[in-house]
Amino acid sequence: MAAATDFISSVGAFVNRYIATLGAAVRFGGAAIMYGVLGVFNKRIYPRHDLIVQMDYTGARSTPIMVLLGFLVGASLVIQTTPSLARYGPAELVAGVVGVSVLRTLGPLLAAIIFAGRVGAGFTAELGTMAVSEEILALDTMGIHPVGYLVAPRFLAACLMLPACTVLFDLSALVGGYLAGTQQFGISHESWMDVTKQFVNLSNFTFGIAKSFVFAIIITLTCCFKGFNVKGSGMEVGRATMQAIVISLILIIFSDFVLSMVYNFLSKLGIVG
Amino acid sequence: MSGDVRIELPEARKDSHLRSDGAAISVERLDKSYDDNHVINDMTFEFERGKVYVIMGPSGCGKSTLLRQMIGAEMPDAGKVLIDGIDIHSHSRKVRDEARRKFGVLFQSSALLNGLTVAENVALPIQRHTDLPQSTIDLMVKLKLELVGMGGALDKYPYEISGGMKKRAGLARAIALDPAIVFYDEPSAGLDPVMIGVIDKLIKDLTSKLGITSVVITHEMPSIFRIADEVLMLFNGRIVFRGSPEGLRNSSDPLVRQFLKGDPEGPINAPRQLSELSERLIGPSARQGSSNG
Repeated sequence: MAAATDFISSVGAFVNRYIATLGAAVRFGGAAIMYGVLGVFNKRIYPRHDLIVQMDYTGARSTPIMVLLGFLVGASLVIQTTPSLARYGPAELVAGVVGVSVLRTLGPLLAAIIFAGRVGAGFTAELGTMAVSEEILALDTMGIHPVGYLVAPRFLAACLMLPACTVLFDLSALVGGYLAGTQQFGISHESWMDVTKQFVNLSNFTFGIAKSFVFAIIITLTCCFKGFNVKGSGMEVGRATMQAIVISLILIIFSDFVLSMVYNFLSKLGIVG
Repeated sequence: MSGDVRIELPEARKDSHLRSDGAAISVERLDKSYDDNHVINDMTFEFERGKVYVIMGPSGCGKSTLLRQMIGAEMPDAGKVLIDGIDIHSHSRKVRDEARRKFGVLFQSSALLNGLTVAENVALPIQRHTDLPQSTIDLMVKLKLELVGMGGALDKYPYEISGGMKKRAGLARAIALDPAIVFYDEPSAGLDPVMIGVIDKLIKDLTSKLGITSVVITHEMPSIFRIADEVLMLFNGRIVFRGSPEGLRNSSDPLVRQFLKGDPEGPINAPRQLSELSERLIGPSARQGSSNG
């Protein structure tokens, strides 16, 4: 009897704790979005300079890795797909496969995963260290909303820069795929372009960019929330960073699945192409 | 650098914070627990304006928890804290911010923002809460840093300066908006005796010459006797002593006596810990043996 009571009580405590965390996360996300928008009009919420610094950190400094990995992903996709495709039909079809898969799924997903590893981990570690050294508490006691001051510029910068990074990743992957297809498998430039035009349309691209915007929100809020809630020692910063990345990846891939279902549904209704 | 301290304060603003009536800080029936650990137990007290109050007590007695409740960093389970008559735990962020404008905090770790220079750290609250032009803010920042003997470190980053300099820069930031109250969390932690003396003198001077109410959490006995107008000793979440440093020195309370002497044997739970430690090290039989023999 006592064991059953203990079990029920621990389940209750577990559920209670997770509902409280979820509530705190929703409040945190709401505040980040609100201050992100308000900060555009009110320079007291965060210094404009901070937004530029964060855009540089999240976007400009991610450029080399996005271009390099995008190029390699596009090229490997063509190298691995073309021989199989050539067995059942014309090898040129690979241009369409690469175009659609990169713009719709691979580009936004892989760019978001790279972004989470590079930028999201940095957010958690940075904010976690600030939490441990009482810097966040100091801001709060000075009457400065820490979410507005620290999270809002990161949130805005990520929402602007991840879609930009995705465009770069997409372009690099398409170039990588094109070079691999034309140089390695002898597909002519004209055939490649013809097939690409047949398969790829604007909605593939816009859907991918819309997804990357959603991924940016997920990464920033998850990583900043985990960073803000670090308690204890520096060791906790490492643990929180690891948890933030794992949670971000799960949420990114899950939301990619949900958004793909929504896209298919809209496509069947003829709302998107 | 750390010895270059000028503490010449003007007398002009001495009474500027003594205008409003009532207590500077009023704590009413405050209660706080973490799971089963009752850290603050129905605590009530008031602090007058323009005095130095020291809160002391053994580790785990609730000092830091009390400070976190007083600065609004945590919500109490019951009771309230009024800063100059304003509820620091109000549901309205606007009211809480109004209360926060009344005090500054010097954190144990100084808590300077590492991405900003010392001058930018001190300027931050002024920029956020006033419409003053940047040139005036720069002047105010210089003045505050000169006040704590940090005039030469304006452009340094926190990671480029010593622990004592960080404390002084943190103090300059805490008084940037001329608060009525300053909270000090272990201001002498990690400092050498000379720097502790410097910080103590700053606390005393800021209190007497600017009319600030200072609330200091510390373990440092020489500091307590140097700076305190009144001392509160906490034990098990309750106030066990409140009075002058002289009263503290002459107290016959066994808790106070043990704490002042640093005696491991006494009513503070050290003996229990000692017996537990000996049990863990040499086993229960050894303890029985030693008590028998």
